[in-house]
Amino acid sequence: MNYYDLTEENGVVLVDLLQKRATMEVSKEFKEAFLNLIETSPSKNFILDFGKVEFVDSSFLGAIVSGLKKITALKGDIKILGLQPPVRAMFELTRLYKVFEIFENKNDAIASY
Amino acid sequence: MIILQLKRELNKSNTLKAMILAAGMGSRLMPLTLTIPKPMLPIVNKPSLEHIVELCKRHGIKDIKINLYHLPEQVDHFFRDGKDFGLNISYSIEKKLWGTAGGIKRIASFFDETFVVLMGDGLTNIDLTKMLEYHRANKSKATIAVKYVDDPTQYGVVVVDGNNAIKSFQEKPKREEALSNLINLGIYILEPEILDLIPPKTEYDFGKELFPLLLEKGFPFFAYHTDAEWDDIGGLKDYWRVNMDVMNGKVPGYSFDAKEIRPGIFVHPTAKVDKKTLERAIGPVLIGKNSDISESVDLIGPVIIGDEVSIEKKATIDSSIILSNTWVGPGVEIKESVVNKNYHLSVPNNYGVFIDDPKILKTHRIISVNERINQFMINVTDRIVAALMLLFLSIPFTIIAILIKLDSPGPIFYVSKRLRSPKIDKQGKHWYVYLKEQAVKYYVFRTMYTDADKRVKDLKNKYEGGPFVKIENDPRITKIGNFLRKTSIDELPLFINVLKGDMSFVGIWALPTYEAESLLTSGLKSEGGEIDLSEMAHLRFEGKLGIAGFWQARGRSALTAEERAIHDSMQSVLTNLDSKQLDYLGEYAEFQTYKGYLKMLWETFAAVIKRTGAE
Repeated sequence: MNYYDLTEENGVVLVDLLQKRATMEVSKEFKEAFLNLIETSPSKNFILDFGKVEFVDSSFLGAIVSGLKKITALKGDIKILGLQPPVRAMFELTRLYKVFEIFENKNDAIASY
Repeated sequence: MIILQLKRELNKSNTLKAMILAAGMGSRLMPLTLTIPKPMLPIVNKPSLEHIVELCKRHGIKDIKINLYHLPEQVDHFFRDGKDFGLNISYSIEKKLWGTAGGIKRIASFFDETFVVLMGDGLTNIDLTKMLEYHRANKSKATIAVKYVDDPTQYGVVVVDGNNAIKSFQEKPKREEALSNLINLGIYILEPEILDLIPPKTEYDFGKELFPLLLEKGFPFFAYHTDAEWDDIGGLKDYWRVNMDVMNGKVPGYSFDAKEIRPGIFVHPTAKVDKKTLERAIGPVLIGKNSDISESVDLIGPVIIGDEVSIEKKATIDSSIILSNTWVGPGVEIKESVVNKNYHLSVPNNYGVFIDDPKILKTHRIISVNERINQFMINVTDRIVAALMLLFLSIPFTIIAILIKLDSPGPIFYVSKRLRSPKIDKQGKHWYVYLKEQAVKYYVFRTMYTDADKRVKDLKNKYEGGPFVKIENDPRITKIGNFLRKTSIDELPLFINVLKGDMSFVGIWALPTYEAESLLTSGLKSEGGEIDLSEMAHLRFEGKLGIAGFWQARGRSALTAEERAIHDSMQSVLTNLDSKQLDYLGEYAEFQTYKGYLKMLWETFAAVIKRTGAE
């Protein structure tokens, strides 16, 4: 299954998440694919676009934290883009905004690298 | 013709965007700001940020950006996308504090036209329209609002020439060294090209860094004189005084969200106040939404009582602020203070007391009928299912008990002490744990040799730094124990705890005391320390205890420590959502309902039956 579309802009990898519901049904496979992507991608500067995502559960958040752990070890980073209000609330409430940098605008996110 | 053109030009350029700075920690207002971000601290029952947002609206501003860092969810939940206020409000949630100018640079693409920068935690009625006209008339690139004060020693001082062009700055000068009595109010109108001067990805300050640079580069840079109300809320004394001043009518132009039932006594229509208490109240008094004031309470103004406050009989409130969601016990006397659910802060003494006695102060929240029904259904279901399960399992339990006895010497049950939702509080850099209730005794089948507990600390150090130890082929585990653990049967005696009401079926697994302590003191960090998840992980302590949690249902031991922590924390957060937040959170809100409870219950049983993860 295809979990995301990939594009590259100014050396930054844009990962556009395709699921409306990013939940435990997809988390495990997404995590494997995502970790593999991090490893094989020449650029380790990622932007994860949540624009289409309406609901994220803790297993999916766990998967992206695993990604962050891996990419940080490779001197890269994952920035978060386009959170819809309930998902943004989850990043706020779980304090994950203190480990992921969050943007509303793609250009600002790219400029942050 | 020329005039018409000019008018058009003016109209076109009269739109203004706003940046409200609301990210600061408000450390001078600790401990109030531990639970309420400073811009949300109310001034006469309305967050100071709301006063600022309304000011923007009055001056025709439509697009507002607010930067957030400390407790961002409270601002986000209050203003949402701004539609209720007739505005477009969006947020810049900062991972770290970028400083006043750095926080704007970070989201530079928002500022494609002239914009005003305001502090979210002050109180002002400055005329932004006039300030913009002044800015335009001077063809200024940056305009700072300034005001004359008698004593500028606590402020940033601005020195101007005869045309009000800014010449220099002075930060908190000594009285004899002050070059002028004009102070910078922290209200700026800026042109977007100014942002090009701010270095990217850098913590950067307007006053200390950007403005001196503007002077150096010779940008048109002006001071706008105002005699508007302006209050900078620094510490507790300022906060209290501003509130008292507004109540005493010293700050013009403030109306209260309440009905004036007699001169100086303002009561919100949803508040319940005893008639005699009201009759003898000495104004000015303001009572907020859904508050409940009993008989024989003395209210000696100025008194501000927030929303959903409950005051018991014979209490005395004198020249004080009682913040929202506080319960004040019978006979309690409060004078010249700011009071929060656990804190009594005396203003003249500049001294605060943490009150851990629920007979004096505690949290007070009105629970909706729906919430109550949900909670009742969950409690009843917990008990019934637990009783039925224990009955049904009585024969298998007997067999298991015999097997445990045969396998190794020692008791059948392993009883461990687990913290029961300890109350955590952060004071400065230290975390304190308040054990309001005694630890819960967890009953599980014994799966280890009897001397295992003594060795656990050494073992833990050998294998992994953090808590949540699960070791493969653990030598401490007995043969029957191995089977019991893999199948999760060892945990079935916890139904006794559910029956006793110590926990629910759905809730967070309580950590043994030593693991809880380790999590509180060492936190949860990645090996290199780059990713610090401690604050997230600590959220679990605020949750309700239970058997079935997110991670038990969703993978068990196959999960990393971080993943488990996220599951627990999210569950904890969802349990504690208040009713006001629920409608905003769509599907997340379902978790708190009876349906959500049943769903979790089913997911966990399904997971246990499938024995996922544990194998």
